[in-house]
Amino acid sequence: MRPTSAIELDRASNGQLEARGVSVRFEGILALDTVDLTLRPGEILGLIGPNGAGKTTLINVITGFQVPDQGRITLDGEDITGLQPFRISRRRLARTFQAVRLFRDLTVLENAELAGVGVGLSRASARERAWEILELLELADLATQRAAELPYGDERRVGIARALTTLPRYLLLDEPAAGMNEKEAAALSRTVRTILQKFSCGIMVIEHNMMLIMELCDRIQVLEHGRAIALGNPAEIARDPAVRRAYLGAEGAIAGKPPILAIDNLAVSYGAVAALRGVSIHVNEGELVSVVGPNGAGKSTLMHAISGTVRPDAGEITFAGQSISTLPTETRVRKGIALVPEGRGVFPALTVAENLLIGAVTRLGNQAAVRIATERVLDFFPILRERQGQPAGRLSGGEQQQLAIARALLSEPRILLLDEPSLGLAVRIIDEVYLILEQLNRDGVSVLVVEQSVMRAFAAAQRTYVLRNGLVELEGRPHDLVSSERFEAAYFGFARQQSPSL
Amino acid sequence: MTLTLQYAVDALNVGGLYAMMALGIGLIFGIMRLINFAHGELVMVGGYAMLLLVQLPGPLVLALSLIVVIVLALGMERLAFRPLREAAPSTLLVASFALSYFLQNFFVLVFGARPVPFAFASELSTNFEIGHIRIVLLQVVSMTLTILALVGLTALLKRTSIGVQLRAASQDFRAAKLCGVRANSVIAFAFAISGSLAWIVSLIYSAQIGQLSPAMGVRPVVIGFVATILGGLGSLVGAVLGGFLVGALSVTLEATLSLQLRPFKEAVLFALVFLVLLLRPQGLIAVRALKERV
Repeated sequence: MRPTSAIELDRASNGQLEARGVSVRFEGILALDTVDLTLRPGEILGLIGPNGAGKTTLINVITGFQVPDQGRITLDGEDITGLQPFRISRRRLARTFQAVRLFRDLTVLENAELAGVGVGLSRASARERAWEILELLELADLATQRAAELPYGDERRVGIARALTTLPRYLLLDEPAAGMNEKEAAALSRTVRTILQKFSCGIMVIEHNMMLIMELCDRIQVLEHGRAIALGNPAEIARDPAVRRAYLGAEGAIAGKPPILAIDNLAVSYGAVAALRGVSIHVNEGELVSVVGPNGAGKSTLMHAISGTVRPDAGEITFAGQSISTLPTETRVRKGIALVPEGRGVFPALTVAENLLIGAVTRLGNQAAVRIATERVLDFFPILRERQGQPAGRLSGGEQQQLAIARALLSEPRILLLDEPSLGLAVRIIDEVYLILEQLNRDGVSVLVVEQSVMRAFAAAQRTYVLRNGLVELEGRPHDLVSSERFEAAYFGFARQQSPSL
Repeated sequence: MTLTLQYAVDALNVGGLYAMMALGIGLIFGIMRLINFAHGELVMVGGYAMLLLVQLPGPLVLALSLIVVIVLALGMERLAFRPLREAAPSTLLVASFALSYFLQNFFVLVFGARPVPFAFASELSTNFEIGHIRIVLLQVVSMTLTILALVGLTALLKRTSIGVQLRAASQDFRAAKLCGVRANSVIAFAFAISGSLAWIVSLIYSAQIGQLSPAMGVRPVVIGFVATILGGLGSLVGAVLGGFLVGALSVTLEATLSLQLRPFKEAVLFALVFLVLLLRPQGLIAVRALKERV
């Protein structure tokens, strides 16, 4: 027998955490539509779904941060619907947040013990318990460090430790692996298992990292547009066609054909400023995907991270099934990723022909192929043929954009990335540029285009992501999004979660 | 009339030398945002290499000393600058200073600080006259070399693929990488050319001053740097223009300043450069990519 511990628990737990028929409405949009969910002690439940599916809203309802319009939440038989969050956490239901929200000036130990004090423990017993939990999570070495000094992965784990200090019987983790690299995610996975073993609590994990979810969870529930569309073990979920459609777009599949480009939990910061905070997007083979968002949303950073001109802090970029996160830019181009940068990036003092030559630099070994490809591109952009001898700097904006696209095409990309192709162009020219993109896409080139001008990017794309403040706020088919009020909220950031008065 | 012509010939001579220094510095700056102050030491090492090899037949001396300088330039890039490629431009600048001082002091250690009298092919200092213009054979040779170097470089940059890649990279390095241009090979190529230009300067310069010293690279590098700035940092054409302009200014001042003021020739020269930059801070030829970055 182990000596009595501060975290010794009553393991005889029968009850369960239950949500029944939960609906939440934000300004006419059903964020949750009669959703049922059950979490039993001793199991790990994954909650997945495309961005905007309602996962966080559901956690908010369960933990009392959001009052549902319909439905009940019961905890071991007791109805807790509409209780204040602190009352719910005293019933030993704990959660972590997408953004960790540690107390930055307190030490790791103090952060952990505060949560214990919050649920009514004395300072001393809270501290004793906090120590024990830090040891359990292998964070004891960091106990005296200020939270602000922690690396990202440790910060997330301290967030979990803090939640554990309330000795939860039910623990809800909201995107715990967001922004983590592979190694950190693996460590997190071990931590979650340790917690399950020690606490025998029910753990619910919201996550975009599919590998983690598939490996960790006993059961997985899938949400799409606020509805629960599937529930089952990982193997069942991976096979479920409805999940494929909802989660990965029409053609992709969890276990089937991987997307040509997959970005997983990408985090990029410039000094202290986070530009991307755990962004996951993907482009399927042959798809035309757009990313829209206001100025400063992180769109260009995303493009630069994909092409390797910006180093991410965390996350994984996979191209054609291979990780490319550590490759230099020019190698990525040679693998088939071509970026038409914002502002077009033509070489102004070089002639049009020389610009095209640079575009074909990846295929210098094969002169004949380069000649044929150049001819084809010039047929596609007849104006460039006329201007071959002119310096690119003398071309008009629209012609420069054509040149930039032509140059990118000469590297024979499998995916073409475009950063704000319509910026600074007349409307008529923008139409032309997009016609070209659609034509290229029909010819089989996958396209990822980033735009501030929303309607244009919507009209062309098969799928759209809305990026704001470095996070994906919404994902969906453009015509679904455009009619949704949630779209404006996601894009502009106002009129968001309207919380009914408590 | 003859005097004016004489000055023009001098100006071209001096200007050509400065132009090659400026080009060597500007080439590297254009793609790496590195102002390589150790460029002067390439000139210096070229001189000493010739001194050490002087017993060999002439063409062999030229070939071997050229190789020495190119290898040194490539070595600088590989050992000192490549590890810092992601670093801030100021870090690169400091690294180049460190490299410059290291090489100077290393040569002080080996050869002593005193100037060593040396002129490769001393017969070059013979004079002759055409009309009434006195011409030193060295000037003809150096002018020919300058012209050949500039023409050759132009052909290289215009006609070869690696040359076009280099020009693209010096206009917008990031856009070039986004086209698949290999950073390492383009930068190595730039250093090799930069080294070759330094070698030509060392050939002419050591013949002009008739001696070698570990610090002999400092003056040309400073003037070359000024010429680069004057022409527009990052622009290759600008570097050449700036070189010739500084050369012309310097010769004009030499000719027009009174005897008492002549010792202050360089002060006046740099004051004029100041003035030009006040009126046109971006240099004679502005580089677009630079504006976005700085």
